[in-house]
Parts: sequence; C-alpha cells; structure tokens
Amino acid sequence: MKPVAIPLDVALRAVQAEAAAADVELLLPGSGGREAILHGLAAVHAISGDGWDLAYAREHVSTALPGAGAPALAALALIPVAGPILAGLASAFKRTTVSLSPAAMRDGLTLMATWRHESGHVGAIKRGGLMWCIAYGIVPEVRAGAEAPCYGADIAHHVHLGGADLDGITAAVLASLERYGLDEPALRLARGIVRSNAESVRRGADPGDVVAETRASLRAAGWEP
Amino acid sequence: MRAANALRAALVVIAVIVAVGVVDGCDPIREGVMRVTTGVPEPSACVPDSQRCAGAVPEVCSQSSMGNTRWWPSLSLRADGTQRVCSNGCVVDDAGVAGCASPDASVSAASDGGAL
Repeated sequence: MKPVAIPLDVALRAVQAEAAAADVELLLPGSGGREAILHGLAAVHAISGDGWDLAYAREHVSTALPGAGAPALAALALIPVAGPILAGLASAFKRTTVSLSPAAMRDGLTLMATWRHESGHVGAIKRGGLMWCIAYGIVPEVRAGAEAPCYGADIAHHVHLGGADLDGITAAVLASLERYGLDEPALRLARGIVRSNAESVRRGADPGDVVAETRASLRAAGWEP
Repeated sequence: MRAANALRAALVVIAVIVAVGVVDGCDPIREGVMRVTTGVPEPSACVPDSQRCAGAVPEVCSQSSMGNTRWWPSLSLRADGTQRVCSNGCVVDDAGVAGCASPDASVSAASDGGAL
C-alpha cells in the first residue's frame, strides 16, 4: 500500500474530535496534567523498583487512565503503599484521560497510530472500569491481553498508511511488549496476539478496521489524501 | 442506606483482596481478580498458544500460572468499549494463525473456525 503523508495539524484535529466524541480528556505534551500523571506513575514504579525511567516516559510514553468516582477511589486508596498515589491520580480527572507524549506527536501518522492504540485502552476502561485497571496492574496476563491488541493497531497503521516493513514493525512491537513486566505465559499470549495481527496485515486486511476508522476520522477533519 | 453500606462493604472486600494480591503476588488472588473483572474472558478449555476464530474475532489461548486457560481476542476494543471484528471474516491459516481475511477473500473466509 502506498504510504501517505498525514499533516500533524489535521491529525490533531481528528484526535481531538474523536476524544470529545468519546468523552475523553486529552492532554498534550507539556501540560500540567500530563506532568502530574508521569510523576504519579514514577512514584508507583519507584515503589515497585522496576527501573521505570521518568525522563524516557516524559518523551515516549502515552497513557490512558480512568477518571474515578468516590467509591472506586476509596477502594483504590486501600491498596497498600501505592494505592493512595493511584487514587490521587484517578481523582485528578473526572473522566478517562489520554496523555500524549512528544514522541506520539512526531508526525501525523504516529499521532493517529498512538491515538488508535490508546483508544483501545479507553474502550477497556469504559467496559471494565477501575477494576480493569487494577487487574491490568497486578496480572501480567491481563496486561498482555490489553496491550498486544492495541499494538496490533500500531502495526496496521504503520504498514498500511506508512508503508513500513511488516517484519520490522512487528519486531519493534514485540520488543516494546518486553517492557511491560510480563511473565513467560503472558509473553506467549502477547506474541500470539501480535502474530495474529501481523498475519492479518500480511494478508492485506485491516484488523478490526482500525485504519479505516482513522481514514474516516482524518477525512472528517479535512484531510484530502 | 443499606445498599450504600453493602456497596461499601463489597468495595472493602475487593480492596483487601487486591491488596493481598499486590503484596503477595498470589496466583489464587490474581485469578480471583480476573474472575470479577469485566473484560477478562472466562476460563475456557483450550490448548495454550492455539488460535481460533470466534465468529469474526481471532482469539489466542493463554494459560495462567494457575493452569486456567482463556481465549483472548486479538483485536482491540473501540473507544466505546465494543469489540472490534474482522469486517471480511476471520480465517485460521495452515500454520494455525487466526486473523482477519483479506478484502478479496471474504467469500471463502470462515466465520466460526474451530480451535486448533
């Protein structure tokens, strides 16, 4: 498929429109809210001692976090040590919040791919609520089942819209998934899901119509390919 | 009031369960969390690492450290929380990989291929 150039300003308009339609708070790089999220996550990871790098995250990590009501916050705050930090993060926003990294806004294609990835997490939060986020945090299998399909959307975008080499982007995605603290069974699940998406793309398919959705969104924002 | 108290009690129980799970990394607790979380598939008999088409959704079989197996969808969710599907159907290839059918192969695509 022929690569397309997506202007960053058009992509941003498309993402903002989708976020508004999904009732999602969108935080751009440099915003105070994004900084608060990154520092909160850094605190949580510092407790777990897993070597999470704030400087790297500030540049490269986009997030989707739930907004939370009072009962859920009360439950979250009871989790030892990290709970109050997580509750503080969730209470800072009244609705689900997507925070975009500077790397995500490198170009229009990357922004759309990142948004489509994060919108998968938005859907999971919408369906499973705060409990989903807790399960994501403590069960590697859930993290694998949550992240790998979203990375499938990245693969489809970079190949179908960006003309990327399928094997190359698949290898990059698999390397990214190694950074989620997955145990061996969870890694096998993640690899299987990535392989499924890669094979769909290899066949010329658009897995779950993620690229079609992006094209429609861009057209609505005024994009003329 | 009674409902509010019941909800509060339930939340405390959940929080304690989660807290224990966090502290201990205990497999039964993790499994318990999975069972009560909307969006986590129910345990289902399958061969770990195998793939199938569940209707128009490719799925991959996982096995937890507890030994329970589950079918996980390989497609992400839409932002509204609904499951994405293969618009041209799902197929399992000769290598056992389930995925979306190519646009020009939709006529022959299986919509409910079995587990391998």
